[in-house]
Amino acid sequence: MKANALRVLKTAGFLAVFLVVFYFVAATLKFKHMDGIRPMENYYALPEDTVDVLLLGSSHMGMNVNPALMWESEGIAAYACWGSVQPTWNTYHYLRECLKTQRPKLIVTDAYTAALDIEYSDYETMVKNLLGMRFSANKLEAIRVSSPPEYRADILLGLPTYHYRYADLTAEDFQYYFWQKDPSLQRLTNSDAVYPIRILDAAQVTDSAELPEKTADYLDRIIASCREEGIPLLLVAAPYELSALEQQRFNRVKALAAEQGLTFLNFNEFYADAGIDPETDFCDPGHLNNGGIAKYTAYLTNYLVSHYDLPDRRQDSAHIWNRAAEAASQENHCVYRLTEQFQGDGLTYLDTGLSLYGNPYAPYTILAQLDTACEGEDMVFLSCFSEEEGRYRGVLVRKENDGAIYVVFHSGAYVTLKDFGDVLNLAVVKNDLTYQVYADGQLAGSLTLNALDPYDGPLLLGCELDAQGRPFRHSEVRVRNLEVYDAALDASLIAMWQPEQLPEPPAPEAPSAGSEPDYELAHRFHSDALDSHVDTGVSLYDEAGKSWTVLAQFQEGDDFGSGVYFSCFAEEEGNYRGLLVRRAGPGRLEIMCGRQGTAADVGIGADVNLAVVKDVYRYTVYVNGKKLLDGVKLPAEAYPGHLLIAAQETMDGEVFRRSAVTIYNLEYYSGVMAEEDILSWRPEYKAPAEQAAGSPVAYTLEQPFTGDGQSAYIDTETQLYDVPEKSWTLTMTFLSDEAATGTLASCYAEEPDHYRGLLIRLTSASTLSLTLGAHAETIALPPQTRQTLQIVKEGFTYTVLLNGAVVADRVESGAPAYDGTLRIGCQVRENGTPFRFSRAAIEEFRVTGSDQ
Amino acid sequence: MLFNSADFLVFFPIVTLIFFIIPHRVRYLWLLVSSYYFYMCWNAVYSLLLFASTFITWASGLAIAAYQRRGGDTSRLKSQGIVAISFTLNLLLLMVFKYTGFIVDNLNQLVGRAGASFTLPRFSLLLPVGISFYIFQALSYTVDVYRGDVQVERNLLRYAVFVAFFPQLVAGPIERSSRLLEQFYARQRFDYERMARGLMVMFWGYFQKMVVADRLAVIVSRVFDYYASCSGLEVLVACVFFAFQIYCDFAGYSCIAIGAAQVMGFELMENFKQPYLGICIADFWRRWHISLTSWFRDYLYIPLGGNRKGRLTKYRNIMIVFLASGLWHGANWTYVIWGGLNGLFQIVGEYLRPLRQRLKALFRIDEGAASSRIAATAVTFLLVDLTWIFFRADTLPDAIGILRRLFTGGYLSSFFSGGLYSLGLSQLDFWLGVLFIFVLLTVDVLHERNVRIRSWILGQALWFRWAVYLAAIFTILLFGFYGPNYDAAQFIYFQF
Repeated sequence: MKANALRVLKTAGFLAVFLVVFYFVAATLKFKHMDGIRPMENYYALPEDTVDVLLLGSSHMGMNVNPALMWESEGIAAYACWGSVQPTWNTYHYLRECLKTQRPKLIVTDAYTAALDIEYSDYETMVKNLLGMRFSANKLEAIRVSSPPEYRADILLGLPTYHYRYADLTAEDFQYYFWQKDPSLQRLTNSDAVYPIRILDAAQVTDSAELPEKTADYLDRIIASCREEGIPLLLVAAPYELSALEQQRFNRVKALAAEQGLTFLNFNEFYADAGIDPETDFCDPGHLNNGGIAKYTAYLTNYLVSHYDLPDRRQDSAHIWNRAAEAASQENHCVYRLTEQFQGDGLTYLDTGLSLYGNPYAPYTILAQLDTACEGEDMVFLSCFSEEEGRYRGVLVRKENDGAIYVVFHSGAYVTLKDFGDVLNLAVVKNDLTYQVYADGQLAGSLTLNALDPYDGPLLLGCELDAQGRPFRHSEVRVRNLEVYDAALDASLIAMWQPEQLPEPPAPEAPSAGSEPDYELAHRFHSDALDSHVDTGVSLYDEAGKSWTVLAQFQEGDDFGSGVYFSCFAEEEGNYRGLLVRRAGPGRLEIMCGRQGTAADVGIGADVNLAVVKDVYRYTVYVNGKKLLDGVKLPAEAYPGHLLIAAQETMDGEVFRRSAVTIYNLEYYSGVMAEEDILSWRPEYKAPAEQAAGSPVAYTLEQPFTGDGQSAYIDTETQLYDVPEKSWTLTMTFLSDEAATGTLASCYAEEPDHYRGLLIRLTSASTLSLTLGAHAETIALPPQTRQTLQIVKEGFTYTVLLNGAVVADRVESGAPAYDGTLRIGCQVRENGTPFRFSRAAIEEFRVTGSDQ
Repeated sequence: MLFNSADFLVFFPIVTLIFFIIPHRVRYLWLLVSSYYFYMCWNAVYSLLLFASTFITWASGLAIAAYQRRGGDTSRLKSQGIVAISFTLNLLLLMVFKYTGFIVDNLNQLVGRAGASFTLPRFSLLLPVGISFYIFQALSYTVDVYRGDVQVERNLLRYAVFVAFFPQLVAGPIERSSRLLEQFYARQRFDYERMARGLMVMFWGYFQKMVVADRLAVIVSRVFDYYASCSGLEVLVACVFFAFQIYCDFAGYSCIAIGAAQVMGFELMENFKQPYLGICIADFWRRWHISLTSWFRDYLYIPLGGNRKGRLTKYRNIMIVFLASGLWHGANWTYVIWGGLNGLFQIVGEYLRPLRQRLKALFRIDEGAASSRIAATAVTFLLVDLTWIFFRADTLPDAIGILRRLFTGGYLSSFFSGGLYSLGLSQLDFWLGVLFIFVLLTVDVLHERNVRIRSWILGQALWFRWAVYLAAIFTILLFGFYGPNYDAAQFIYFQF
């Protein structure tokens, strides 16, 4: 007997466990369709006496009427319990289901599906209109009338219809368990798409057509049910691209409604009244877009208000949608929330990005929890304050030497707090020009200003901005929590504020550098200060607190250029930041870390071994094994630029201050390198990279060329400057005729601010204009018609011979590379198209490389 | 009523509950009512056919018993006459309802070939569910009574339960009167552990049927219907899948039947015994659909002389049995070919046995080694799977066409292009199918090694047992193929 009892108990236990697991499996797998299942399921979550207007029907109700607009404009508590292509029998059973828990004052149903001629919906529609219902006699009956026999058991059991969804689960499927109810006000958004529809002149369709039998039967039942329950019923038909037959059926509905003493509003008959434009207000042939929804809802709302006695539930503070709205509105006004505690260290600060005084009349509320135990002068907790001389304004919370906390708004307008514990809950409420300051929920002071100017600066934690907008007064303060609202919260909410404990900020800890560099200069780098520099691609300051080690070996000095060895430096006036290593004078090396730095005399032309280590905010600098800075804390701010060798970058990202330097080695390590490794870093000097030879130069004009001044030219397809230091010799014989002026030959970059290359122009019968690299030369021609010109380029020096005589000897002119080709009789634009066609008469033309 | 229908979920517990509540002496009546209801859910009129077969064999039993009791010279002959009448009548029923269309079609073809222009009218009868099973079961009774293997049953209704016992009515196992009939006299007591074991067998059956067979069926039917557009790999996969589909379909049904009977206290015979672990075709047939194979052995092969009358007679008998078995499976030449191939493979295997043994001796192949066994199993599976192509194909030309497609290539490209996942199962469902085949094979291997899985589970701690049960149930509920089937991709939110 005992054994049997135990077995019964075990079986019951197993069944219980099975049911629990089954529930979770089913709740996860079940359909979550918003068009039929969720509206019904959410309806069950509504507290009693929530719904005054029950909206029923198909998507013509659910996707066309926005209950939130009804609530917001007139306080009508409406709920749409709808389903996709819902036949009248499903509407009827939804109605029966809805009346079990709510007592609406009005029922509105869309008659669209009264025009549909079907015995059963398609399977998908059946599922959407049945699975949301809880098990009851009503559901059984609904299943019986809406689905053919072969589907009934599966739909009743549910699982057979959705068990296969295990492969399709998304995050959404895990948020509809029994403890996650959603009784919120329905807020409808559909599409903004515009789909012009063709409308029928409904007034022209005067005859009526019988409704399909089953549809008509259930329409009657809906009407009878409402009558029995004593609830007024309004029939509507939303506008859409309807057919003549559907209009005929609507006419029948109208007659039926008239017989029963009911109103049927067929909006297909009054587009103009409702202001709905078939050209712009639809997103598909059946449904309104967001603009259309607003118009349709507004029209319907006005009709309901003027024809029915509906209370404004916004006045009813107990109504769930009011409580929800209140909570939501406070939540909606929250514009900033700290996610982890702020700990200033005297170098860093936090920029909330909030501008509190962009509009000086806008209200705000700051709720802050501060650690009051901090020592020092002018400890700034938070500031959104202009330090402009004579126009101090904004809000500044700081602790001064006297141990009091001052909340400053203006010159002479401040509130002093003296009485507080180690932790202070501070609230600052601004409403128009009036300020209220609360300490630990109690009003501590209040004042009103006469006027207020705008200020664009952001709300900062741990520092202030000076008159020039640069951060200063970095303070070692702790802000445990901060919330900012764009509304003036009332005293009760402030008194209730219970800031949650935020996580402490992670202590900055510098990682140690790996044994392999994260960047290593591949070859010895020698720059001529013209166009070569190296972009290492390394960002030293993409985070202000980044730790790294840069090791470099280079030669001191060069006479040419701006003396920048390497840089990762923001050249921002008034806010210089980053790292800059440059030559401050002969034999003198300067290392800038932001606005501060150090310098050393290393000897002219000496080889330098430099190491810069940044350990979060502490810099250590070694020059030739000597420690110049030893863990000095310097402010650092983020800067996205790259570490460049032999140049700097402007704030616009343009490379400038190109410098002639020789760098033997440069390595970058993310993380801090141990001192002994730094001191033992003496790698072999890297070899220079092989010089590229460039393309071959060899061209001879085969027959004399005479330009036509319009389109004739010759592309020699020979590059003269693809490598800047390329050597070549050009020889040409041309006629110096007045008629033959213009461009004789060119290999010239027509780049504004950066013209360069070779340009040979006959400006008159007696003058020849030459551009050699970056250098210009004008040569007088002897009075003869045939001239022979020879240009010899060796590296960066040019020698020019005219008719065998040297006219320009070893002119030095460097120019950066240019990849265009040598043309005869024209120039080319920046985009490569030829222009400036000349009438040049050239008899001989030859160009050869240095190796020929 | 199908085992995997919601109706059976309601039917079976109610029948079982009432079965154990009511007094023992009326239980067989309750089973009779339930079984006929079970059959009539499908087609009420055809229950007359079931009853007709029951009545004929029951009456034949009485007549044989009467003649045998009376004794005399002619009694043996007369009994034989009764057996012949019973067989004739029953096989006639079977022929009319199962083979009419087939016979008419073939006659028409013959006549047409002979040049005549007249054709027999083609009429087709709805094939009565399970007719091949219950007629064979009923016939076994006639012979058993004749052979004196079983007591004659005078109570028509009790005998009717034997023929119509719902767990094995429509798809076997084909029980023998000597085993099952007497169980309707025994007093079944409710036994908790037996019920647990029976339910486990049922769940295993449901797993085989709903999770494995019906899943693999998706790909199999797609490929067999459209083999002309399938790559070699796809056809190969479908052929392998079909081997497991038909195994799981058939064995799954048998397991549900055995488990359901076990819950009520009845013991049915084992019908499948790890068939794909067989090491030759003959071994396969000792493991596959055992109740049918043994039926043919006892009532056809042995009466024909079995293997006692020389090699040629034995080969002839094997061919007869397998051609008959082919025809039993369905009225189509494809089944006949399938049966014929199975017979032929056995004969060839037997004929070549001396040669094989010489070769094995020559190459010093140890037959007992695991590798030899695995190779033999694999070869057997390949041969069996080859015959399944004929079993599954709709017509003979289709079977040939499918065999051809196997060698058309496209193996690698089809694997990498994901063609396998466009045959009706998503990639996940495809690999789940492969995984479940491995689960199945693992269980088969364990059974082969005499590991008693059910006993082992029952010996575990409560939490573990429950976890196993829940895992089994939810595997079936989630991964089974049931419910309204539609393309999930078409079921899109907000599509009204």
